[in-house]
Amino acid sequence: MTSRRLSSAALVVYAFAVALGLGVPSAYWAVKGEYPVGGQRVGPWRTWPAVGSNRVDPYARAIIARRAEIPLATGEGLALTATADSGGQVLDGACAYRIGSTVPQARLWTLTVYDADGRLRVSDTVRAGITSAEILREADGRFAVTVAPGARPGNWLKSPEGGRFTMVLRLYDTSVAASAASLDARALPAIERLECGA
Amino acid sequence: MSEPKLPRIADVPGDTAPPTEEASARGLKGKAPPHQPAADPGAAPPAQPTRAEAPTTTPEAPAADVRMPRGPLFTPRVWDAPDPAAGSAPAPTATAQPVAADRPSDPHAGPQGSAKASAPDIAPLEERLRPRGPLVPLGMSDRGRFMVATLFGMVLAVGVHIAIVLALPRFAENDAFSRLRSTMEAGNAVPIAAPGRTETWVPLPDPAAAVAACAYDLREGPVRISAKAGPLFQSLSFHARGGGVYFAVTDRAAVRGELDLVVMTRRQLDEALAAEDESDPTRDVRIVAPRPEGYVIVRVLAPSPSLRPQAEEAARTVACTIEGEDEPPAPPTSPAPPAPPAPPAPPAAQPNRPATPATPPARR
Repeated sequence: MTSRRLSSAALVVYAFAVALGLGVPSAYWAVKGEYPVGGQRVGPWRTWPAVGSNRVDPYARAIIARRAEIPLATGEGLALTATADSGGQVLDGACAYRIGSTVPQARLWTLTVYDADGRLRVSDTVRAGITSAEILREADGRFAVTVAPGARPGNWLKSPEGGRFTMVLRLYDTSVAASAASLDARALPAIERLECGA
Repeated sequence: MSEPKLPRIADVPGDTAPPTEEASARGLKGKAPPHQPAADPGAAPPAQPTRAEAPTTTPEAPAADVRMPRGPLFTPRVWDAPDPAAGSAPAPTATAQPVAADRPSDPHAGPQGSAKASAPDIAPLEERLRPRGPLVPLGMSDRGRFMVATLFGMVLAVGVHIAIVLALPRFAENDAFSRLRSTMEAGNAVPIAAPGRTETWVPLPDPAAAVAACAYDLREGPVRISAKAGPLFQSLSFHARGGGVYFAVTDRAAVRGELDLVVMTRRQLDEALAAEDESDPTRDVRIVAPRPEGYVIVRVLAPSPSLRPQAEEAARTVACTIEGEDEPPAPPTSPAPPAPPAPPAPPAAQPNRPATPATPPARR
């Protein structure tokens, strides 16, 4: 009988240990990576339309607060993130990619390349992003941006050396921000893998 | 130990209440220690004076009877029985002692139980009390108890998880608002990310954007944001601390090249509406903030590197001033006669591009 009473106290301690041991790491894990809910996949791109509004979910709120993020508001535009190409393979800094050839209507858009830690790799001669105003287009209005380790003719962005990287396409002042749920993958640029190991 | 000196103790068991009933009455309180009867016969004589006092005590002096075992929870029939024998005001003493506490080691209760109630009467009572002890029913095996505890822990874990996620924005010390707190005093938006540069704390900065910010605390008054629309893309977004974006507008909403917005709480909006002159409605765009603390982010885009200085300059010149410091609030006395409430078009006017769902989405 006394052993039972002892184990009651031990079970209470055990229950609280389970609560802390599961609750704290799971909460940390949930706010560690990208926004866990509300994401939308359009081709290789991912976007979280609710993050730029007041309908943002608690997880995204926690992540935004933790990382001091300043999300693009729905009224400002829409940000689309890609960590893999259209074939589903993770973006690799050693590979060359071709991004094109259409973008939804927007007043201005930018395409930016970040390294694995989310930093810009810029220097005097190398830029990390390109805007729709700078881009060279074909006669029919189509375009192609090449992200490669070595210099390329045309629209070229240097891919960050060392492993995976991230691309963010930002559409400023666009009508699709309010209707991101109905975005078509064909309206967004594809990310085509050219060759690796350059 | 003569009979006349202890009228109640002698009378109680023999009079009306049988010892078993008295014992069960104590048993309901769960306080009857099994070893007490053995020690108590010796303790009875010292208790005598208080007991002798009890019958003579009138309702006017309840303080002396605090030790009397008549609590409100106590069944009265056991104790009321001897009172007619004592002859002096039985009912008043009962009502005059509302503070009488349960006394597990009461010297009067002890001898009583031991005097007439025998040990076999108390032993089954102890057995009756025992099942109340453990938290988990005794019939459950140790494995079952372990699983109940695991389940309980997992339910608690869900609560801990939710609590942490919900509390994080509130207690984050490195969120954007905390970093921007120093911009609260500045009259202009403070640049936090320059186009084409990497040194900024803003995660994933757009190298084409000049970003400036000013934090506000509406408890100091409404905040007026004034921006001049230039040739470059310019946007203002309004963030509540820990609560997401509640409003955003681009330079396309500018009237005659100017964007003039006032951020206020719902109460400040009500006050402004009450003080407003009907004949001269304001042209300000009023935005109700869901929380008093927040920040405004200015983004100006430089489509090409040569336009970056211009974008930085445009972002820096956005003014954020606390209303009511420089200019007095709208005069409370309106020269115009109180007209019937006109359609309130100007106050909550939305810009052309409404951006986020609504102006006053969340009321506090």
